[in-house]
Amino acid sequence: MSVPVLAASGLCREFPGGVHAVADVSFELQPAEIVAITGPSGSGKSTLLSLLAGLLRPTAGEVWVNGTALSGLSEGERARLRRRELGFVFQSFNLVPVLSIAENVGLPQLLDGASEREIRPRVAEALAAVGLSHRAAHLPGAASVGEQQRAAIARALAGQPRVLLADEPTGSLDRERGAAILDLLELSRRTRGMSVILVTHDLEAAARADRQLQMRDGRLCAPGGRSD
Amino acid sequence: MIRALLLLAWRFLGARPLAAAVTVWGVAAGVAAVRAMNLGSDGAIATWRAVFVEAAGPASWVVVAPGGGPLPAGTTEWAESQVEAALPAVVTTTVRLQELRFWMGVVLPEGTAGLTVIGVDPGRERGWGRWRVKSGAEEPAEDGVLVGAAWAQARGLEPGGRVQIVAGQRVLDLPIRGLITREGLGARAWGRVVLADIRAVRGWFGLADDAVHELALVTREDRAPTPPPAGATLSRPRERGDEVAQKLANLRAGTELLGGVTLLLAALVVAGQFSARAAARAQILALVRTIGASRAVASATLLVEAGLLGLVGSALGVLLGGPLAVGVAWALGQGVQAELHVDLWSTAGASNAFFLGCGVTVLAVGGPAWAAGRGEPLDALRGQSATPGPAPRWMGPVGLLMLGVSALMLAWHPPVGADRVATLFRVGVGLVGMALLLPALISPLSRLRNWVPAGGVATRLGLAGLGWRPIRTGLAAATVALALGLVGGVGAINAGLRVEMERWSRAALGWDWYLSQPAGLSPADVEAITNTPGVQRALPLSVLPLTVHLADGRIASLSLLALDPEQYAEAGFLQFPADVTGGASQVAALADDHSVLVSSVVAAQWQLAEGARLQVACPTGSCELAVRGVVVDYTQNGFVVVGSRGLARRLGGVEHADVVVVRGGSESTLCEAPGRVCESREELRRRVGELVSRSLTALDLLLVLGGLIGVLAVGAAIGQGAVERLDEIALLRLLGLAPEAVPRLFWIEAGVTCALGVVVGIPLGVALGWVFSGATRSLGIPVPLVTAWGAMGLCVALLAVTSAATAAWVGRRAARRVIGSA
Repeated sequence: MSVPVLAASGLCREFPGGVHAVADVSFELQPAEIVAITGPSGSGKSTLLSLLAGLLRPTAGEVWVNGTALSGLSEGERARLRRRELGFVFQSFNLVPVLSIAENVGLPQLLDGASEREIRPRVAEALAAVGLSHRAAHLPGAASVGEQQRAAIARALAGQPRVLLADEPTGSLDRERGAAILDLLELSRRTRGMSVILVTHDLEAAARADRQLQMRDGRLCAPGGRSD
Repeated sequence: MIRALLLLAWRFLGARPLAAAVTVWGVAAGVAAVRAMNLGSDGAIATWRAVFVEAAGPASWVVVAPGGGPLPAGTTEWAESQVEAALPAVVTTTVRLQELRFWMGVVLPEGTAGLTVIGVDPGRERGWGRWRVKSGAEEPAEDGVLVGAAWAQARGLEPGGRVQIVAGQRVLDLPIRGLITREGLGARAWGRVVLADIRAVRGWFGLADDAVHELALVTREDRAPTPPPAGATLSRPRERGDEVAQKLANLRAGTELLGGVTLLLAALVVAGQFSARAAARAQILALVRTIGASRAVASATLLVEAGLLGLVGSALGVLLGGPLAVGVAWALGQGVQAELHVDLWSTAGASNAFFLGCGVTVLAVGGPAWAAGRGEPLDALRGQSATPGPAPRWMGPVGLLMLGVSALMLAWHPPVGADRVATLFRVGVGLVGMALLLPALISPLSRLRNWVPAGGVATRLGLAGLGWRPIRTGLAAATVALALGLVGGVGAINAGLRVEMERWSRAALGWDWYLSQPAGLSPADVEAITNTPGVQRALPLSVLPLTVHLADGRIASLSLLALDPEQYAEAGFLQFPADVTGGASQVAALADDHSVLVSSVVAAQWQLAEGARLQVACPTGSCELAVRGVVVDYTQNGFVVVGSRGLARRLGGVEHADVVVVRGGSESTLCEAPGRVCESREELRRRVGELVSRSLTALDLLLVLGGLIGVLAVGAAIGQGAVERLDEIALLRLLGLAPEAVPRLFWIEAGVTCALGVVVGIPLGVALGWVFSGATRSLGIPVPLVTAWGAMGLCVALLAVTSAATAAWVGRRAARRVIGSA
């Protein structure tokens, strides 16, 4: 087995009041693997995503991204790691409303200090990959919800991340558009070798993943299995 | 990274131009106030310094005797041995005969500065260009003088004409040879100058044949001469203005305090605005963080935006501060009978105000920006961070503690007599405490909705809305309170000064007629006036120049205002500092003909207090006078001692009166004598009223500015609150809320915010009024504590109207929101 691009061991997160949002989660994500995480609301899926992305520090346990332990990184280093290794797609509010779609797609590179000359071709390529070249200069408000979601994927692809963290990416879309987004993720996995963690309530979407996991009371288990 | 921050900031600013404009104007108003206060005070000080520098002309150094008076023997020889030219001068003050009636500082307003007579040696002055002739002869001679052009022309005096000035007990009738401009020596006393031959001046004023008061030293190289003989002081010309500048420094402390409070108000507006921006942008900032921005970068997006607005607002404030400063300098000048100039292009002042504005803006945004960077990104993206929550628990107790500490410190060290910087600090602690306390009160206030009777849905929702963003709402209430506090504080000085001047005007100007004649009123004239049918009482007043030798050897040129002590004691016309009791007995004590009262200006400048001894020249050689007390001089420019007419008679055989004040009588019986100048009580009071109004213009400007910032804050807070909740309002509409109930909801919210600000602001205004009045009293001006109910009431009305109008406007906008799109 190859080296996992993302791994977690004994991950715990406790919030004030003794709430264990994530409890003793261990997990590995292989290159070009799509893993779906399902579970009821409040089961800890979002908190787990935040921990895996280094947005939240665990109370216990460790996360490795491409072999790098997040606990040893400063806030700035974790932000840089997110820019270079991770991509994000959400159910809604994926784009900064005051920036054009092209500017949104190039924003992570801009934050990374890349020059306009470096950013432009990457943005054009990413927009072409999701079929949104004609929308480059438009503000997000002028695009449909499906187009906005594709723009968010283009932003994630433009940074050529190793892992894409997708939080309910099809939640606000109809079935047809949702399927198109999943096709796009599948294509990116095939052509770029990108791994995907798909947090979803949609069992149909989860069924397209290589592996399914279920989150319950902060613990991760196989679908239908019991959390221990 | 910085490009990304600038791009985001720029786009966000463009997306909400109205909010950006409100912030820019808030900053601009604060910076303009600071700039105006600085520029106005600096201008006043610089003008005074410039007069001395200008008067020195080409001289690098000036030699004078400490406290004035003649230079010790040998000084001229000492100077001539080591400089290119030593230009001697004698300087004395007097008054034009026709204006004697105005030379009364503490009794009548205006014209108290008189005329400066400068004696120079025309032969030595040739080629050095120490004055510039406008018309007529180039230099004075023993038989003729040069006169300040503006002063002369205002009185219809021209070359070839004559001017009558008082010299001791004599009146000199001098030919005018020419007029000089307000440059060089013509700059002294704001152009109220008579330039004469030094030998003639010595003779006129009874000075020694070799008397020299000033030596202007022209040196080839700018190196200091050796130390002068004992009793003479060597200084740079600009240093001579420092004494006056020091006096104005008190004014400066006051104006800076007011500017600082205005800037604090502006900071609260900015903090409230950005608190709203941070809340509205929680999801965007969360998104930026997930795609690779650190917490610091997320916070920096707000700070960069604040910085950009601060740059624009501060630049605008610097520009607006210029014209405002002209008003401040003009108002300050009115009080001291001088023309004060403002250097609008002073880059030092401009850059200070500019960077202060930028710094305060960014600092004010620090709190909201820090909080914005702390939220959980994924929660925010799912809309979970929008849940209303109370202000942090520490804010209430810390705010209360700071308020208490401030109150205790102010009670322990009342502003009267306390160090002004320390007072400013104590007040500042209280104001910050208030700004912390008010947000903590919002959530409990919001819970009042539980007591609203059934059916009051809009009221209930309006009260619930208060808790939506408690910090922002609390800051809006704090801004209202501070605006009211500023209005109350400044208004108290304004109202106090007006009350005091009115009191003084009633007492000092309580006579029906003020009569004078160009050549004075003889005892026969006074008797005739006294016996005029209808006249109940007539009191003569005389003024004569007085050279006073102080106990420490200094010499001062003052004037003696002579009056009838018994009559004045009875009528209580002279004003005493607020902490002095028994003023009447002090006036009555003048009847011994050996006692005098000194004006507050004289007391401050020469450190004279009750019990001090003065030596003056009298027919028997030298006479000693005892200082019995200090009288208030509202003009701050009356270099006067007050004594009895018996003293004037003893010192100079003065029998004539310069003014006779009369109670009773009529215009037809009193004013018809040839040459009689007659002024009624109403005319004089009107003149005093105009003088007071002009002097208080700067305070009026500040009052308006404070009120406007408060209005801006309330309007902005309500508007922002509505914009943030358009979707929630649409949801309420969907659930059955009637469209007409939406504005009511915002009215309730705005009304409670405003009311909280008013409830705190009125006591704050009363307290700041006490502080400001006390600080003004410590400057020697007895301002009574008058609460500015009128000004605060007007401000409350303005705030109420603004709140209601803004709430109605945003409410209608929210009610029109298409439910489906929300």
